[in-house]
Amino acid sequence: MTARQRPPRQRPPRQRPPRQSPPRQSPPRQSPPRQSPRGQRLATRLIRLASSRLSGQDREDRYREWTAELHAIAHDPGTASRARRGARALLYAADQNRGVRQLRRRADSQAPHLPSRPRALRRRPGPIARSLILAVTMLTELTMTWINTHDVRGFAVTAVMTAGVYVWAVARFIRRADPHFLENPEDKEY
Amino acid sequence: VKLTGQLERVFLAFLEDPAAPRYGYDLMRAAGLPSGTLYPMLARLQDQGLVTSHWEPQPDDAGGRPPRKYYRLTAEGARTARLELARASQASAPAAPRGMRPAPGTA
Repeated sequence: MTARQRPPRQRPPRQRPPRQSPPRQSPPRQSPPRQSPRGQRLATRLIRLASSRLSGQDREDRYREWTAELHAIAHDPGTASRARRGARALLYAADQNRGVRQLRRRADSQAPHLPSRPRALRRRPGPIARSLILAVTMLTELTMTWINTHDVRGFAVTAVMTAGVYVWAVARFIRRADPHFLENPEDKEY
Repeated sequence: VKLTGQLERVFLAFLEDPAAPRYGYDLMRAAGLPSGTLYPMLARLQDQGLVTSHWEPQPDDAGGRPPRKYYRLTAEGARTARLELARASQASAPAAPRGMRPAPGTA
């Protein structure tokens, strides 16, 4: 039995139609912002965490204000690099946790006659616990980044920041060497 | 108002155009301050009546951009800022020379 031989296909040679469009101009160096980049998602989470520590109307106002600012950072025409805009958004959001402490103090001083909270509720997480929470959040983001995108640059940036937060948390823990390190020293409950 | 270096930078940023409303990130860049410093400072200035804030009305062509919160110096705030900055610059100006001294070894 002989194998059937097909006649060779004869395709007509491809010819590209001539371009009618004007010569292409080099695109601007600035990369277009994505709809929801990872850095901005993480920054939004950090802002949600920070504003959740405020109370009442202030919480909602600050969340609206800071997420609008995140949008401004993400679309900042003065910063060409998308990675830099993402890092700026993260720094902006992470630093709000520091600002919230002062905003809370201010709110407490304005309302001194509020009934005191129960003793158990007064124990807020301390700075080390907060930094550990932040580090775990970033580690989760790091893992999700790698699983979803395999983007080496984004992974590297997040990895360096996560490692920095871990080192910072461990350094504070070693420095304090206190069995009650997970509690906030401002509470003075122990 | 106790004028610190950070507050001085915020005042200078506002006084670039006292009538222009500024949003937080804009002020951060102009004053070179981190967010954790700027917002408590703005809240304190607002409590003292030196700064006022308002929400931007949602424009039609915003393209999904959320409305921003804008800050502006009040008239009292602008007056205080100018006064404090003038005081600070006066205090940091070098003292006037008391008189000519002869060069060592010539007297």
